[in-house]
Amino acid sequence: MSRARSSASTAACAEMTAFRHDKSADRGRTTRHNLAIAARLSVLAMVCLLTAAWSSSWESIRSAAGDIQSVQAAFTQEKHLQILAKPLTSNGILIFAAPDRLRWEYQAPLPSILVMDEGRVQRFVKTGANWTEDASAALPAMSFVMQEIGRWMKGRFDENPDFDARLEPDGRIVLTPRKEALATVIQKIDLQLAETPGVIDSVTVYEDENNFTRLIFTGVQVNRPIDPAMFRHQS
Amino acid sequence: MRRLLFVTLLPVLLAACYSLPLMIPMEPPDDLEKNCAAVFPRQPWRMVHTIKTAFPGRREGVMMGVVALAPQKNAVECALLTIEGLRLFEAHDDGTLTVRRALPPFDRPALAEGMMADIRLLFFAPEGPPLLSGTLPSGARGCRYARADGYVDVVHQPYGRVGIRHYDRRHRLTRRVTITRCHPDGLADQEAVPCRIHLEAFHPADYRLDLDLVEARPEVDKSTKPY
Repeated sequence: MSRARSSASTAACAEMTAFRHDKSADRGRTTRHNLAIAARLSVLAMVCLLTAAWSSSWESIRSAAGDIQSVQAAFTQEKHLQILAKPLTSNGILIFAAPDRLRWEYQAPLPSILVMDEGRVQRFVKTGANWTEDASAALPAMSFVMQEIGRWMKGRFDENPDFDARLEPDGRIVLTPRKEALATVIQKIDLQLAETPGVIDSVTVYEDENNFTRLIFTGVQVNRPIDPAMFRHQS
Repeated sequence: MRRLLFVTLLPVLLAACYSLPLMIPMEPPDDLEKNCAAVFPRQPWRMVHTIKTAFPGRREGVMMGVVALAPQKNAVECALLTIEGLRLFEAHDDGTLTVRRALPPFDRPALAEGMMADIRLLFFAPEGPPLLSGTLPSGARGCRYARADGYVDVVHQPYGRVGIRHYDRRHRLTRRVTITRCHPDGLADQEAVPCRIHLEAFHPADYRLDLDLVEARPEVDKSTKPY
């Protein structure tokens, strides 16, 4: 959805630029018609400014995220592994509610739900017809990841002391581990911000050049009411 | 003194009680031996399974497992991932085990060797001809292979299932496996692969694994070349 919006926005900005070039040719048209076009272009100009502005600095990103009370989106996850010829694809939904509630739900291939509520992280996995709580050794690592996602949702990309954060002009954020120990686990994280303020288009976590995970978000909905029960899984 | 002697000898006495299940040889064994070997993949495959783990104390978890098999080269690569895609463990074994990545707690040396031993038990035919092939007391037919670390029984079970049992050199049952094979979607012309696996481990560690196939792709030999 964000990509579609991005295309529409780009087209609109191009249309506005095109109008500037043809301005003299339009002088002969009626005032009413010109006013209508001017009004339309004002809106388009605002859209262009807004989309360009929110990702221009850490302050503007934090400010935009400050208006976000909730985000929900569908996602497709591609796991690229050197030992796999094709990426392993999963899909699900991600729901965030300020200040720190998160639901990361996989619907396929294996239904599972990771919930974070007031700092407590739990994972539930569907086994047969039932949901069981997962107590695997991997959960502490995921707890770290969930805390980090919670930080991103609040626009605090540069506040984790474990990562060096770099903001690039195209709305791309690159997080690089500061310590060697963490760099052996994660080489870098690439986040692509969406046109919509406070929204992330995709996240790519690089373990190394050949092994990485990419999450692509679609159907993003911002500030819709979310039932708190979504963050407390019931078996 | 007599009691002390009894306590000291108890493990020895118990070990002496272990015995391999009786297998009555069949004549001629050729077809059966071929059938035993045929239950294991013969061509290179890359498979992804969900793995449900259960350890004593109701500690249960779920991971994704990836294996790239090259039976002709006796080589295997494997990776363990969280459902979210975090790669916890990756190793390659072509006779020499190389661990490429092992995040705690998957960094214990014995874990990599044990994991690779389980993968070989599930996906690779035991080396060499069977020690004997025949019928078990249950009526099931199978083959018994001798290995350096003990014995492996490969048994044809009802409904097309395959049973694998591993016994150590003291004849203790250490692994009990049930495999259901299938043809992955769109690959009816290929050999069947393990799509459901139930593994119970009894010694030295006690755990249970349930693997369900997510996807399987046959691979040309060059792409399975270890890197």
